[in-house]
Amino acid sequence: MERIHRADLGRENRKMRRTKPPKFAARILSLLSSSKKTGILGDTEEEYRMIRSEKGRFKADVWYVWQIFRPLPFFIRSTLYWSITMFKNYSKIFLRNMRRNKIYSLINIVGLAIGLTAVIFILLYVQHELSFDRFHENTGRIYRVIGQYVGSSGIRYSDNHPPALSPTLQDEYPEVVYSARLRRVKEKRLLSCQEKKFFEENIYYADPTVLKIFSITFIYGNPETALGDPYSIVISEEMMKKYFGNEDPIGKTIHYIYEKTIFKKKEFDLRVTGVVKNMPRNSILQFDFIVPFDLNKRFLPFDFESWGWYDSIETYVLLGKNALTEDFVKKIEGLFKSLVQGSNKVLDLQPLEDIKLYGLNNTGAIKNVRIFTILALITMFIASINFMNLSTARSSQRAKEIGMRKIVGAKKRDVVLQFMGESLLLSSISFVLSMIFIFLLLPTIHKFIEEEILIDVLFRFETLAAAAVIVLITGIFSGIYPAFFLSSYKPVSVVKGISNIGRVGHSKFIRKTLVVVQFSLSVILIICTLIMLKQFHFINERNLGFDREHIVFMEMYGNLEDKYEIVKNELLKNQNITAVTASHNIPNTGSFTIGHIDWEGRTTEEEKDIDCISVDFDYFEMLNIEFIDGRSFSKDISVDEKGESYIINERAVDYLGIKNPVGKWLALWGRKGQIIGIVKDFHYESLRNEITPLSFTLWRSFNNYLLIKIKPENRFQTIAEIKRICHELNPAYPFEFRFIDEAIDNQYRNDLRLSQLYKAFTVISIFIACMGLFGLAAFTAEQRTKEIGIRKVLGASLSGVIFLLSKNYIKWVILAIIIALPVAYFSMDHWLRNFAYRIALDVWIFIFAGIVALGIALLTVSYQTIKSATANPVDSLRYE
Amino acid sequence: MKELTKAEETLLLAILRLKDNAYGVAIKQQIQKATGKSLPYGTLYFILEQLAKKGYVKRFTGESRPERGGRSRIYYTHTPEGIKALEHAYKMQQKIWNGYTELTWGEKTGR
Repeated sequence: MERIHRADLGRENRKMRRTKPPKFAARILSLLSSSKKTGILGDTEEEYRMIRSEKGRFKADVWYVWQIFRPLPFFIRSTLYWSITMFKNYSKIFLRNMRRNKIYSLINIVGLAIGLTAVIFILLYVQHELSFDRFHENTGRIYRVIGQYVGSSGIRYSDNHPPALSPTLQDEYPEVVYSARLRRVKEKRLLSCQEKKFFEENIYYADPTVLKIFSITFIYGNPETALGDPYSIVISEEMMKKYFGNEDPIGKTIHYIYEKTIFKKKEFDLRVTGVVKNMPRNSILQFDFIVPFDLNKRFLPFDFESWGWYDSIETYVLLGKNALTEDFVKKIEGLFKSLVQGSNKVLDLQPLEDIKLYGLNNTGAIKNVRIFTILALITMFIASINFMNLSTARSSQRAKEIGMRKIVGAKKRDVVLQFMGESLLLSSISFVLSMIFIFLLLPTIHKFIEEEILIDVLFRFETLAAAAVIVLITGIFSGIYPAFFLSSYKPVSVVKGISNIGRVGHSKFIRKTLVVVQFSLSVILIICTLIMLKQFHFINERNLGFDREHIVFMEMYGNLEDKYEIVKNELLKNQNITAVTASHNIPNTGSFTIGHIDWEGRTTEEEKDIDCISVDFDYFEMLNIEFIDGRSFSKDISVDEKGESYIINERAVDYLGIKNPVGKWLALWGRKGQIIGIVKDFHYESLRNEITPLSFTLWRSFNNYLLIKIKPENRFQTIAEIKRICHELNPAYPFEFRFIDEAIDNQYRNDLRLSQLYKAFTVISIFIACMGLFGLAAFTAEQRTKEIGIRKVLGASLSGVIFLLSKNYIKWVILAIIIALPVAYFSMDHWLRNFAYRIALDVWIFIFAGIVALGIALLTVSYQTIKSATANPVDSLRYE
Repeated sequence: MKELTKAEETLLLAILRLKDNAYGVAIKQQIQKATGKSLPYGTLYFILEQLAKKGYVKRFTGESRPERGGRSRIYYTHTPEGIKALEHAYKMQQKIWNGYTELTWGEKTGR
């Protein structure tokens, strides 16, 4: 009997299992009806079975699903209703608080916005710098060949190689897929097409393989053959529009005038064989014109198989996909030592995308990227600290609100979310404000970094995502402490009126720490700025060892070189022109190096080289360079005229180790000549570098620049006169000139920019820190209104009250200064090592910076302290 | 004494009528039969909870049943307080409705 019953039950069970309601719906239902006590699930299933046996499966299923969705609209409506209600309440309270505390809100929002502006600007800049040359199809396999020299002034790198290097790399190393020589024309060249004539700058000589290595997109023409014929030219889209309008220019000719004063002027007709898209802005290769490298052979009387000739030819290689870069570098590093006698050059490779960032010899953008990033983070940090400080400080004002919320039923989580939400909202408002700042500041920024950040970068997904993340992090970072601090209030004590929570020990400690950190950073920035300004002042005022004022210089194009003597005589007729001369280069813009020199009384076997500058008569007289021995070049002595007299500086005497050098011989490029004079050392190069050994020659055909010294009076008329003479004698070329002192100052432009940047960031961060201090002072004064009132009633003096209120801030700021001093000292000591000639780190700078910081801090709090100290005690005490 | 709401009143009466068989499905059907309205289980159980809180009904858990997917029926039964509350409500009702027919007599005839 029992067994049958069991079997029945089993059958029943099986049947039940078959007729279960839809699984998916049942799952949702079980999620919705949370409490297990209620029989909802069981009831629904039971009724499902009833309906199923009566009306069939489909209807039952529909009914079952309907059971789930029927309450849904109500559920959504009620959740939404309550969250909207709470949101309305939160935003109402938020706005009310903002309105009631206008100063605090302003400090918070503006401070954060300034910080965000700095960070976003840095983000844009860094992204711009990092994006250089990453768009090439072969990125990662393109390298620039660089050479490492160990010279008298340490290790130096160069990208300048003899023309024979590239073919050798291409032919003898299987790793190299393509190798190309690239030579940028340093001077401006005159290009013409019928009546259109322009001076052009971005002209490159290049092997045809450049088109394979770099991603250069052709609009017209065939990249396979475009640079095949030496008399061809590939132009950029922009240049096509400039010379030919919008029509296809293939097959037309551009007239190209080659001139370099050492050689005869040559002219070529080049056939346009290709038009390429303009290179993207974030590339170091800004081609306007590409001319086949082989054209050089038609006018340069040099041996192109030579390993000893250098003329700023860069070499780029594309390595194979499977080539191991390190192994390849090991193979080629000793190439020069084995091929060229006496060479100590070691070859290495530099990835194309690193060139912009690292450059050669530390000239890249990476330094700026790092400094900018640190400055932005500091500013952001100071702004966030303000936010945290002001929120916690004002928390006592909101204690009652939070107590009420908790009593009515808010959980800790709700309060945390409320305050996090407020802080996120504030940071979003700041973000919008900072966007406005950025749009307003963009032109200034462009001018400042001398590079154009495209505005569409701002709207790219990555940038916006990064900005959103920054806003989020700022919001959370600056809101997290206040949020947890405020939410931990005990409602009972708050409502009972024990509301001195704003001054609870640990929160006060944290606030103090934050203010100290803030001021330390500001003091560090003040010291850095002061030292930088002093160093630049020092450089500007330092006696360079020659006169650099009132000297006009220009490149000698066209007739100026041939008719140099006529030009000189013509110019000297003017009373306001005191001297005219010529030279190969201008101070601060470089010299050329002569290797394998020889001299009388040589005691060492070591190969030596020396920097050389070719000059004309009157050069030393014009620059007022002092002679310590011998004489200057003279027109009356025929040996001088032949270029077989040399002048060297003091350093060179030590370097070569010659005793009594005047009258001894020196051989430069194998040309023996007499040393006729020794000049006192002067700063031919930047003050960052030590003075190097120099030799001066009178090889007049090397001279590129015309130097004209004018009287300071009537400058404009004199220059107009120079212009007239140049036009008369050299009508084919426009008149362009500069002043030497300007050109020299240009050298320090990056430093100057850096010091300006420091100044800007210092002012900003001090400003933000002071805003924070101001807010805190206002808050404390408010808290102590009653105390001050009682003190005054009992007879406290005005100065006593002011001192009482400022005492704390003085303590904090002095602590901050003590922390800041060593940090600033070490970082500036490090920075000053960049300069060969530098100021000493004076104690006075540090003391001065400390006083400035203290003064600013006191001035900031003084408004509040004086205000509350002078308040009538009757007003402050009566309100109870 | 806590007043009964209209819905509580209806449910309590249904439980009274169903005697020993007053559980979710049965109550729901009973109400449908009496009022013609279908009550969702969510609402039904909410009101039952209220009644239990006020002490007018008691809850029993029955044995597990296969047609409910192995779950138990939850039975409800009235308490003496429940009866009292119903009686009170009935009296109140009568007081409120007293004389209604006379009052509306004229209106019904449409005069």
